[in-house]
Amino acid sequence: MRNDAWGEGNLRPRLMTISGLLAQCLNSLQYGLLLFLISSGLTLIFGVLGVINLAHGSLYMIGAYATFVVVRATGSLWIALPVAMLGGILLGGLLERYLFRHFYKREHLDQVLLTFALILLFEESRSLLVGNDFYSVPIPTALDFSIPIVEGFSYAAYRFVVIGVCLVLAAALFVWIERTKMGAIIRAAAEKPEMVDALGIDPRRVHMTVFAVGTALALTAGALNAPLSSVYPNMGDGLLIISFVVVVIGGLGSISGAFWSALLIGTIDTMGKAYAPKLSGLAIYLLMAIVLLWRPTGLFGQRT
Amino acid sequence: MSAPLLAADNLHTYYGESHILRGISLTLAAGETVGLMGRNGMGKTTLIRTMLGLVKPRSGRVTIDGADVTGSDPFRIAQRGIAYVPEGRGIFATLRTMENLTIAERPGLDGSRQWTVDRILDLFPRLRERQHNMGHQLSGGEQQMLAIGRALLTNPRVLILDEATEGLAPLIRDEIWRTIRLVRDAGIATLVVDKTVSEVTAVADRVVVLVKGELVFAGTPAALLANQLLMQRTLGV
Repeated sequence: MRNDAWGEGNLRPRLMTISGLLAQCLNSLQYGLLLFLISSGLTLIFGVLGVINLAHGSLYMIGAYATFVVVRATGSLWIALPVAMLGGILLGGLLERYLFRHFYKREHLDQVLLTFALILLFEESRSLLVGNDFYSVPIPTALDFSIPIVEGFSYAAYRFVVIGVCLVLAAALFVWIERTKMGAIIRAAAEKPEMVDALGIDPRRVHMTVFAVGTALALTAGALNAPLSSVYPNMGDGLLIISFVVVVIGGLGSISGAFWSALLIGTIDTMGKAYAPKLSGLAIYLLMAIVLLWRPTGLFGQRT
Repeated sequence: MSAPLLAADNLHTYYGESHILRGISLTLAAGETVGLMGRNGMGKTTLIRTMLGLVKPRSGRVTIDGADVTGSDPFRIAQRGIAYVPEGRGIFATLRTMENLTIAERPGLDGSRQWTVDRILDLFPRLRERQHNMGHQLSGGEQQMLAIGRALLTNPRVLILDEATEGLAPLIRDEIWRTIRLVRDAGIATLVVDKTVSEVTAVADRVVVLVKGELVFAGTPAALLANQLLMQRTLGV
């Protein structure tokens, strides 16, 4: 599922150099930021709506396929990105309004079944509409070059763009949550939903907004990563699992927790794959177990 | 006679199988102050929560201006001008003082903005000093002022205060009672739940007493104070 890092050919000897380490650091950052886009929506939706959305990885898949389809039709990633973002807001709004809204008061099992059914529905639709083949999405020609960092080492320009876009989106999300009235209402609703109701604030608008934004972030992540990872069936499944690890380590419902946790997991996973491939599959789950034993509510969770 | 602003009519509310409210009727007219009294566990908070739509009654009605709002969403009831200061204050710990205060700020149903942020901060200068602090950093008294200020900024017609002076230092309690008088004098109908008999009887136009989910007394403060036996049996004073 992880994409080829930065170079081709004989990777091993190059890893042991400073430039190899630098490349893995940049890869860690880029992967961590991508994880943040996915897990921030997951944690926000859980925090405010109380729903664990198993279909969140499928939303990432939809973003990637939408990008593939739009790029194939128009030839431009710069059209595909806003399409994925706005499409995500629309899709998320509709899903909340016509589906999730009716499940908040239901049991967790019902919610799990609903979101699991959505995975099947989304993957089946993808199969019918685009098929089951692997596709690649070309990196925009204007960005299809490498930027020299140090002597003998350069890094793909598009990866820098991904890092930049993710950082801008993360900053916008922080400002929105921490500095706007809607953000304050969202934090309040995650903490004391009944009090928000009793103050006369319509909770349905809050739920719809949160779900739409979370969905848009997942689709955007899929769109940004499509040129790097290529596009294939069930491509969101592995990322969903890792995003859950991010959310649990960061503390359920905590955006800043998800941010630092995503960077941590991104680094451990990337470095593990590069330097200790045999252990890397285990490392993040081991970390999750340790964090849960040490601080059951996660690194940034509310301590009760 | 016009319909009361807020009324409960023969409410029966259950928590699971326990019968909490046993046929309670209560009215609150515009501008009126009613004291709701009774020992712990007698159903005062359940009555308030039922009227606010936070708990659904098994039978009976809640009306606002005569219109049935039983079973309405709590936010719709609040939007009809009912503001709530809950027991325990209900401050958002993860929001700054100013965010707590302005989260539900809106004009009243008549479009008036009698209560503004500046007026609240003048009323509670302590909140002005603490405006950049987080909710959980405030003292109990400051949180209580914040909860009252937050409710007033919805420019309500009714203010419901549940144990607003409980657990506060005497000086802060006095300040809260002064505020309740100010709210009353501003013409806002007020339902005050409190255990301090002397203060409630001093501020209220009418007093009602609950025992085990039933209304055992409804009348003027003077009538309650004159009935020593009832006070002793139902309030323990």
